[in-house]
Parts: sequence; structure tokens; C-alpha cells
Amino acid sequence: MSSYPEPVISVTRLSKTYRTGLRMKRVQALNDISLEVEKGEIFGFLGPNGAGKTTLIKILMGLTEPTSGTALVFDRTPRDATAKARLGFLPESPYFYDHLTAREFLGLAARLSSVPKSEAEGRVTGLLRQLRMEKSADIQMRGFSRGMLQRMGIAQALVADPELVVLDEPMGGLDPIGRKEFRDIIVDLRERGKTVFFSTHILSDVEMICDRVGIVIEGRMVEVGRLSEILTGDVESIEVTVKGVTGKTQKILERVSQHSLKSGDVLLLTVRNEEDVDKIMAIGREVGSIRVVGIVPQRRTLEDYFMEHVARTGRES
Amino acid sequence: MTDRISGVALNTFRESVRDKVLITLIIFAVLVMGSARIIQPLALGEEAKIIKDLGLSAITLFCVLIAILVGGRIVYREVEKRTIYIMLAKPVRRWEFILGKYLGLMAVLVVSLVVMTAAFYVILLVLGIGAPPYLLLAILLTLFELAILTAAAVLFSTFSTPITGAVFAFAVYFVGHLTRDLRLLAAMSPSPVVKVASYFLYYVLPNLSNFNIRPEVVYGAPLDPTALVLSVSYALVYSVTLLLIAVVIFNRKEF
Amino acid sequence: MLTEVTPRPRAPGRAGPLAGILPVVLIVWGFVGAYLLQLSLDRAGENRMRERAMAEMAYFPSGRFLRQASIEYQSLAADFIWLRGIQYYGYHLMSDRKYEWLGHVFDILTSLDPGFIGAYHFGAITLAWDAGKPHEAVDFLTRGMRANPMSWQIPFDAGFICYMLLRDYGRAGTFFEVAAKMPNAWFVLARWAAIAKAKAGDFQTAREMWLDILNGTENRALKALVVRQLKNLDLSEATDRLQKAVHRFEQDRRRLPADLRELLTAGYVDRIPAEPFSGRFYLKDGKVLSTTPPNQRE
Repeated sequence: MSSYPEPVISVTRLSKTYRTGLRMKRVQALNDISLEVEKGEIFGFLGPNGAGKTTLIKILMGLTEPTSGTALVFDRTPRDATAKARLGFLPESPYFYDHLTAREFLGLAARLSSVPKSEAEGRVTGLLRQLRMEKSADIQMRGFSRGMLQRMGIAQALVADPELVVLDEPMGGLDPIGRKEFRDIIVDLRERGKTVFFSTHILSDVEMICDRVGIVIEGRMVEVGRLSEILTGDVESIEVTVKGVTGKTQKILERVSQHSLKSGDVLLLTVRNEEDVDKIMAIGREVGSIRVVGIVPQRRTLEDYFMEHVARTGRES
Repeated sequence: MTDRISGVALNTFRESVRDKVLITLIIFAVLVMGSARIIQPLALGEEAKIIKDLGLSAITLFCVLIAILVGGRIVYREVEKRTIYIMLAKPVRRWEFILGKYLGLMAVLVVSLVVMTAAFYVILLVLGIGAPPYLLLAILLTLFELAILTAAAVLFSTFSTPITGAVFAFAVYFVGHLTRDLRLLAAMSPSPVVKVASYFLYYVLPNLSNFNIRPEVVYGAPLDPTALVLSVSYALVYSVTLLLIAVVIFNRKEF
Repeated sequence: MLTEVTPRPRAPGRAGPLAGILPVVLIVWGFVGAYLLQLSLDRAGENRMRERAMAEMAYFPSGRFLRQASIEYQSLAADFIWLRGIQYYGYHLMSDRKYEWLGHVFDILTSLDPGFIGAYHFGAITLAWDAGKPHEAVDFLTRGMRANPMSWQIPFDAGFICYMLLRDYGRAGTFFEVAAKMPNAWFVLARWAAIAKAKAGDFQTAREMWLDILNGTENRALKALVVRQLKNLDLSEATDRLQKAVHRFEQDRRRLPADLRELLTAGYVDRIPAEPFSGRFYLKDGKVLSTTPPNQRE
């Protein structure tokens, strides 16, 4: 849609077919994927496990070659060293050189990214501080916890101060605090003018921080666009909580609603619209014993959207 | 460019030096050399020569083992542990990566060689056998043999598992020392097919016996400087060729 | 709602100098270079090899030591030494034809692996002919016979060397006789033994051996051959007897007899034997000869 300035990542009709096993069975990991990532945005690449997210990222990093179609990073092929110099990458469940300390490892990363020697030490120290790894800076990474390793991962991705940061399932295995930290880091990167591309299967992460979203299911791109445009914000249904319900009133109420869930004398009803809510209120006024204690409108969430697409794809395949 | 290569090389060096396999092999080598004493009664009066030859052979053999066992895993380990994803996503060119690994491994071998040679000289002095400096020439030439072998190990490491790679590398070592027999076969065979095939193999396979000047050195026989220069050149040319093949394979590799 | 993706002009990606055909060319050149270097090396190295071969051979301690040292791998060690020995032989065959250490090598080999009959064979033949040491070769083979009493090849080789080089026909015949008795022996060995013995002057044994052969076969061609050989034997025996008589005559009378008749009349022989091939014996320049030419005697 927008043509200026040029997109940071540009993928056009990308397909990748693997041959696995003794019989060389063909597995279509990616099928005709197209997307663009603009400068300065946080792009979430969303899909269930096995949808092909990691495959796309590997192609963008020059680790794998596509079967057809093109992928460009900073308008260059992914194996181009000048493109790589402007990006930082954090793979899924990264492994590091166990025998190195955190500081040594970041130093190596800096060196390999051609960070000038004069700046390297400063950057390493700065990153260690920013990620609260100062105390463990000189311990071998062999003993690091998952959270610490993940922080080291983002640190090595940032050591060259890249314009683009690519993350593959960065929140995997982190506790809620760790995930919040990571979300903050990503948002901070955008504040500093960087572009972030990350893949995940966790919807809430995407909902909270992404500008644009690409949804991939079984290797196919089913939707790309602004989150606000995908989720129109229409009220899908309303949840009404009613207390003091007995057998007779329950049946009356259930007739008005789509679903109901009973727990003790509390009934949780799902109704289609406000008119149905009024009907319930009217019933409540008639039957004095019941009281409406909660009315919550349910907007269409990403999850709904997502599940709908998964079901649709399931029907199509 | 050199920064990146040296970065990979240094990292490889550090990683290998902290590897238990290496330390074990070096200790064993020193032990073997030290035990040279006990062959005295069997040596029929030729101890000095035997001990020198044993020492030189031990050093060679253990360095070959290091090259094969450590080198055979060197690329595979990165792929297996997936540290390679991070490395290759950086602006390191693939050939820089291979070269860095090779140089790191050669650095490990040089260090091992120096340690073992020092131990060898100490043993010789303790046993009261002369430790002339020209023994070092034999060791130096072994280094060039190792250059070829290491390049082969790195090459195999780009496409085989550690065990298979080690087996291949060992096969190269073994065959490399039998090439003289190939040449003899070629010269003495009446069949032209066998002749051509044998000569072809003789020239294609690495002739590692070029680097064995141990007998001359131990017997104090004169050395031919032209031959030494040619041997060194051969090592360089052959190693570079093997590394080129490794780079070509690694370039095409998908992860 | 899909985002429209407008295709935009691409900056050409740098594929790098190491994609494409260049590296393959370099690799081929690399092998060519290695080939050329090796060629030069080989030429420069010939002298080196000679010295090295000497050094290697001399360095081999006695076979006994090696036997103890390589207990589990004696056969393998022997094979290895065999390869080196062949190489040594081959190298010298192509160059100076001097085989100083050949005996030493094969001695070790056979100490390590006494059952390695091929080594005895090759070692003895090359020792005898190429190295010019037939006595050593026969001694070597005699040791081999002790270690391999059932082998016919080893005594055969010994007999062969005795016959061809040492011209010790008696000994050759004895060796052949021994060989002929071994299982799986060449059936001609008996024949050879007989011939050798005859040549040695042991006519009696020779005749017996031929008769053995004659009686042991139904083959008419073979029988005919044996009959001819027996006649040859008779011829040789008769010639020998006559020659001895001539010699005695000469010693007594200080002159050669005029002809064979004179031998008879002088009483040195009681009769002139019949020539087996229907020819005649005659005397020429003190030598007893037969009128039957040699090619008609076989």
C-alpha cells in the first residue's frame, strides 16, 4: 500500500518445500507468502506451532533458501553481508557457547558484527546494565537460567545497534515478569526508531504491542494488516451474570440466551445483543428473587478471529 | 574481515583448549614418551635411536588424533548446538567462518605440538640422550602434514556427523601414508588400466609420506632443502584446495 | 483484508565471489598444482628414498624382538613387512639392483609368520637370482621346510635353486624327492627328481624313480615318455661307464685309446654296451659320444 520509504522486509510469493524422510516426502512449509514490514513498526508474525514461522525467519536470515519467490531485507538478498550488518537476530531457544562468560560472548558478537573496537566495550557494558546482567557478567554461561539466556540473546542481537531486530518466539518459556520485561524492551526499541519483527503463537503478546500483524496457518498467509482493522470492535455478544436463580427461572432465562453456565445459584448467560439484555432485566424485575450482578460486552478478540481462521482452514484442507 | 575471521578462530581455539579430549590426549602423549625408558632391555643397544623415533612418532600420532577427533566435530558441533544460527545471522561470510574454524584448530595443534615437544626435549635431556635442534625440523614438517589433515577434517565436518567425519579423516591419514605403495603398484603393473588408475589415485590423494623425515633426522642423514620447500608448498596448495571444497559445500548448506 | 504488495525494483544482491563457477575452477587448479608439486618432489626425492629405505631396513631389529612386541598382530605385522619388502625390492629392481637387506627382511617376515609360504617363495627366488645369493636362499628354504613340513613348494624351490644355479644335482634331486612325497604335490615333481638324480650320476635311484612313474600311470603318452627317459638314463649310464674306462686307460697308459675297441681288447671294459637309441658309441678327442643326436633322445 505505501511505497515510500522502502520496506525493511519485503517478501513476495515465497514458498518453501522440504523433502524429508527416506521416501523424500514433500512437506510444504510455506505456500505463496507475501508481506511487507515498514520502518519503525512492530510487526507480529502469528500462527500456531508448525505454521512455518521459523522457516520464514530462517529464509530472512539467509540460513535457508526458498524454493520459489523472493525475500528481501533492506532491499537486498538475505545472504548479503551489508543487510546482515543492519539487523539483529534472536533465534528460538538459542544456544550459546557455554564456555564463554556473558561479557566474552557479547564481545565476540560485537567483533563478528564489525562493531568498532573503540565502541565495543562500552556497548557491551551498557547492554549488560540495561538487561540487569551486570552481576553475572563474568560467569560462564553454562550456568545461566532460561531468563538469563533469553536476555543474553536479545543483548547479542542489539550489540551492533541494528535498525531491524528479528525475534523468533522470544517469549517462549518465560514467566509473566519476564514476558513483561521483553514487551517493554520491544516497545522501547520502537521508541528508538527501530523496526521489530517477531514471531509467536501467543495472542496476548501480539494484541498488546503490535502495530501490524501477519497471520499464517499451515504455511499460508491468511491475513495481513493493522490490528485495529482486523478487529472491528463490534460487540459480538454480551455476558450477563444473574444471581439467585432457581430451577424455574433458569429455564425462562435460558430461553433468552445463547449459552448458559450454572454454578450454585449463579447463572452466567451469553446473549446476542442489548435487547436480550433488556429482556433479562425485565424477567429480573418480575421475579423478585433474582438479581443481575454483571453485564460484560464481548468484543471480537484476536483469539476469536484466530480460531475462526483455523477452523476455516481445517474445513478447506 | 580479519576481525571476523580472528573472532571465529579465537573462539574455536578457546573452546577446543577447554575440551577434555585435548588435555587427555596431550597427557597420554607425554606418558608414552616418558615410558620410553622401559624398552631399554629390548632395544638391543639402539636405545637412543629408538627413543628419538618413538618420541617423534608419539607426537605425530597424538597430534593426528587431535586433528581428527577435535576437527571432525568442529562444524557439526555448531550446527548441532544451533550456535551457528546466531553466528551466520551476523555479517560473517560463510567462507570466513570456515577459515576461522580452520585457523583456530591449527592454533590448537601448534600449541599441543609445542607442549609435547617441550616435554620430549625434557625427557631426552633427563635420559642423557642428545637433543639436537634438527629434531625440530621433523616436528615442523609434521605440522604441515597436520595442515592437510586438519583441512580434511574440517571438510568432512561440514557434511558428516562427528563419528563418520572422524572415520573419513582417519582413512585419509591411513591412505595418505600408503600412496607410495600405490605408486609402486602403478610402476610394476602390466595392465594399463591398473597403471592409469593407480597413478591417478596417487596424484589425487594426499601424499602424507612426503612429510615423514623422521628416519633421516634420527639417523642424521642429509636433508634435501629443495624437497622440503616442495613439501611445504604441496601442503599449502593441498590444504587450500580442501578448504575451498569445504567452503563450497558450506555455502550451499541449508539449516 | 490482504495488503497489496506492489513489486518494487530490487537492488541486486551481492552473491559474493564464492558462488558460481570460480571456486570449482580454483579447486581443479589446486589439484593440478598438487600434482605438479608431487611430480617435482618425486624427482627430487629419489636419493632420499634410497637412504630412507636403507635406514628403515637396518632399523628393523631381529625378528625375535618383533615377534614378542607384536604378539597379537604377528600376521598383520608380517603382511606389513611384506608390503615394505616388496616395495624395497621393487625400488631396487628399478634402480640399482642391489638388495643388501632383502635376506634380512624375509628372515624377519618368516620369523613372524612362519606359515607365510608365499614369503619363502618370493624371498628365496629373489635372493637367489636377483641378489645373487643362492646358498643363502637354500638355507632360508631349509628353515622354511622345518616350519612347514607338509609344504611341497618350499623343498621344490630349494631343489630348483640347487639344480639351476648351484648345479648341485644330487641335492636338487633329494629336494624334489621330498617335495614329491607331500600332499598335493605337482605330479611332475617325481619326474624332476629322477632327472636331477640322473644328472647327478645316481643312476640307480633315477631308474627306480622312473620305474615308479611308469608303473604308476595308465597314460600311454606318459609311459612312452618314461621309456624314452629310461633309455636316456641307460645312455647316460653307459656313457659314464665308458668315460670312466677311458679315463683309467689314460691314467695307466698315458695316452688315449685309439677307439672304443681298444678299451675292450685291453680289458678295461668287458663289452661295448648297445646304444639305446639304435646308434653307436664312439670316441672323439677322449670323449665318449653317441651317434644319436640329442634332439632324438627326448
